[in-house]
Amino acid sequence: MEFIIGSSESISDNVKAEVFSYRYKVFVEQLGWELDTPFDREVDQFDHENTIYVIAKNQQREIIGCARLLPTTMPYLLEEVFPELLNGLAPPKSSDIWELSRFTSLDLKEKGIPENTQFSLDSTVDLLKQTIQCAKRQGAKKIISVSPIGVERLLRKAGFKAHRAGPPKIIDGYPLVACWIEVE
Amino acid sequence: MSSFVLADNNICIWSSSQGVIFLFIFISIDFKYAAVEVELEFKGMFVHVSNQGDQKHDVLYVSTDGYIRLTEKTLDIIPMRHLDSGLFVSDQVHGLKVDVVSELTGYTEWSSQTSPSISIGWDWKLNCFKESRTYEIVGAPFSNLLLQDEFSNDLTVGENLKRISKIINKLDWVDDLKGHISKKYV
Repeated sequence: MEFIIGSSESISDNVKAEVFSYRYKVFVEQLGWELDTPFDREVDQFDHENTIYVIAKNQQREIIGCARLLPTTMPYLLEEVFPELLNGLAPPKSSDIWELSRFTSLDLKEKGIPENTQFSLDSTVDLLKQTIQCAKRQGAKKIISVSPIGVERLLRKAGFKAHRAGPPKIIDGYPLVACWIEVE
Repeated sequence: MSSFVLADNNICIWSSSQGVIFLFIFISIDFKYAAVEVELEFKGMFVHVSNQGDQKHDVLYVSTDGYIRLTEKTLDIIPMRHLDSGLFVSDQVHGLKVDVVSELTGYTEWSSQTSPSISIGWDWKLNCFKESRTYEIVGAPFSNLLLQDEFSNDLTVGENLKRISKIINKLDWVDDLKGHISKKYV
């Protein structure tokens, strides 16, 4: 497995196009999220020049996982779209707090993937660790994530200190939660 | 959604989604020095306001680290209600493959109808091969609650989760879970 890590500016347009196509297949087609996104690519206003991507590829150089990191000093998903997940707390704005979103680890060529699954690989924890290390290199001391509740289980399995920010919000029948993650 | 706000030292406001209800409690003596404890019951909800010790500990608020800090005594009077439950269709979390369904696993979420809201979620399993099918809690819970001891010291993460697990065991959660799962999947 190979990881490609970098800012939007440092990653080639081809790789970014692959990421957006992969995210469309996972989040729109696989998970059924109703996102306002162009056909065949999942991209939004938070994919900009300051966005950091962590991308996992297999030996065939196909994407099998990705994550998105955003500085909270700029507009970010939780602040703009899901502020209620912070349970009344003002969205943080700090250079040492980064947001993790669009985290998935799924080999789309794997057969028999159940619906509503976004993590299916043993490498999921590796991707999570790579992502948190990447945030640390950007100066993060904490990460706030917005994700399905499965990420809480992953964080615990990987040994990270994390706790939820508030109750989950049920979206399309599935709970979405914000989590505070300590970066050590 | 209900919300509870201590507007100032002697006014308490409580609103609910069914309409806005204001409760005013006027305390004629100086709140700073008097020992005041009030327990309110309204539509099955209890809220306790006290200025014993650090006043903040008896009013729900979110710390900058995202935790709601409470003593168990205060938590005891805040009702928790079922929010959502679901099945893990496969082992979605750990990436394992299961050919034969020997047990059902899932999650359940409970929260308080306060603002801010206390959230506790946990995983459960049902062994399908056992004659007496019982639902069991799996692992430690997930929560935004950080319990404090009587001296307002935070419990350790491990102790906090252990105490929250004990609180879960006091909840009658299985009937809500079964009812919700039946509606959602059958």
